[in-house]
Amino acid sequence: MQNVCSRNGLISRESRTASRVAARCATALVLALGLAGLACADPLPRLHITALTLASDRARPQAERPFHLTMFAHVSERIDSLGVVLPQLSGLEILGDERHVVHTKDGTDYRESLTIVAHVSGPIDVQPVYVDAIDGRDGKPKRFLSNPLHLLVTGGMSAAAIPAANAFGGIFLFAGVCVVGALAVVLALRRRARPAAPVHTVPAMVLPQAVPIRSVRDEARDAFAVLQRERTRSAAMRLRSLLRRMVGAGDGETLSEVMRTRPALDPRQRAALTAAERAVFTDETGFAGALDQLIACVRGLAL
Amino acid sequence: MSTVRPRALLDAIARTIVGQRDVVESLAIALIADGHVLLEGPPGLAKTLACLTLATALSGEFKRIQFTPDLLPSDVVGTRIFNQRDATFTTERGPIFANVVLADEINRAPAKVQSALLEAMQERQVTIHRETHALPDPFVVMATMNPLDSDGTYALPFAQMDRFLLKVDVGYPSHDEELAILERFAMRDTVPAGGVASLQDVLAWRDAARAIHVDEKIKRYIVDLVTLTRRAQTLGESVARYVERGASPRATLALVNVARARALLDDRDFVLPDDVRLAAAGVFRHRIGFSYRLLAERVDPNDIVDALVSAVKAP
Repeated sequence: MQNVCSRNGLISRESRTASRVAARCATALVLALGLAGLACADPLPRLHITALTLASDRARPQAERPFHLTMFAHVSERIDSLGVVLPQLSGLEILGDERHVVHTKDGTDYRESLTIVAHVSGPIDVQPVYVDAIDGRDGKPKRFLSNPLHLLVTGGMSAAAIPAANAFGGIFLFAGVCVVGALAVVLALRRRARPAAPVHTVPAMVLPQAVPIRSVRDEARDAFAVLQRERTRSAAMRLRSLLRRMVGAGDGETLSEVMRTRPALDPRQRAALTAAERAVFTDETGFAGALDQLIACVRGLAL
Repeated sequence: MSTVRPRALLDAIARTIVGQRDVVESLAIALIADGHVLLEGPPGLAKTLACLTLATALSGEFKRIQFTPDLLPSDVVGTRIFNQRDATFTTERGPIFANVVLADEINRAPAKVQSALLEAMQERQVTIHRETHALPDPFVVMATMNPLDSDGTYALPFAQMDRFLLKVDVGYPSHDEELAILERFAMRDTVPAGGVASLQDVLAWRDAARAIHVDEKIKRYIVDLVTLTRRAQTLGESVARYVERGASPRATLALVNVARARALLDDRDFVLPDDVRLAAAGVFRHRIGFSYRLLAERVDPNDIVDALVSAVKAP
């Protein structure tokens, strides 16, 4: 197929050749972007990420009323910034973005708070935020994902009313597509006149492995074993923290906030979280009973 | 030891008052925590009815004082009256001598009347001429303010605002609640339930609330919240520009008392971070001194309070 540049060949095998040209164009574009990305990309940081959560201060935000999405991450290293990648917030407008980095005794707490507003009512699924990093535990590149969020925007204009409002926008969009299409045809025709560039094969980019943080459950299992053995308040606190992380909640959230912002929580998880709260904050006389209740609830979770 | 649960009082009030859960809970919390409540909201939102229903449910004595610009301190606390028949002075006690006192439109009275109320609210006693009279126990002042009419009103001094345990912003009911109001009050007569709890029950609840455990982490959380209101500048210009003065140590005590009362209403013998978080707005919104910018820029003070409260990590 070296005669792809021959006009006769093109004319005689037009349809096959045209598709090959298009495929080569696409391949070249992807390779160029990939190489540019490789050349520009910073090496992935080596991190021990122990928490990565996404939470909203309102499970049912009101349209046109700002609310907050908060990302929380904890890493065992001392860092000054973290490359948290935000999801596509379709239907939402970002009004502000605040980042806080706090160095703690056991690493760094990273908190990023987005002030956002929804313009239309209805359910919105917010995809997980993620961090690409070399996992400090096994040295492999990975993508660490947070929990997703399900929000229900109330009040305001419903999504069903949008098409009418966007009628003019649709017309402009259609015109734009036509212009881009015409440009693509012109570029393809010009390309036919030139000899094809030799295609070099490059090794495929090794993308970070897509894995969610699974170790929280393992840590919770260990903490549960410690609690059963030691029966101390600090062990209960450790387990409470891990149970919260398992449902994507941060330590700074109160129990009702955890429950309210995660309406889909399993009743057993709710019971375990409530029991953990009691075990941590009850007085000494009630502690033994609270601990027995917590142990029974966590057994029901089958960690 | 009371056999009546405090939650029964809430249920009884809810049979008369539609919605307004925040108002009803705040009234019960103030009663348990031995404090006073300031209700702010437009007319017609059942503020007065809520107070009357609470007093009826308690079988206590209820008095209402309509505050006006020409009100005198003696109209509130009482006065000495000369009896011509035996040529002696007798003390005529004012309407403040009741278990539940509704001070309606409190900001319409001048400063001298408000200062007379100040002693009653803080010291639980009033002085008439040279005699000091103890007020009945329990004694709860439930004051209302209308934010819409500002003509002929007097701003409450901070010293008096600080004496209210809670300030509740009374909002309009939802669509469904409005329908329920129509059904309950326009279609049939609703009589507030009486005798749900006795005054002795209230005193027993107070004892129970005082015995509720407050963990060390919760105590630190409360102090962190209060002290943050005094150094709002650490939260950046977006908050600091609206805050002139932080909450007093009385706010610290109020937070712990309200949190305990919430725990009691929830049948718990220990306080959770949630109790504090839920109490914070009502405790802070009238104790934080806001700058003129808040009014000028029409910023909702509740948003600033929310920003302060959410900036402190719950334990």
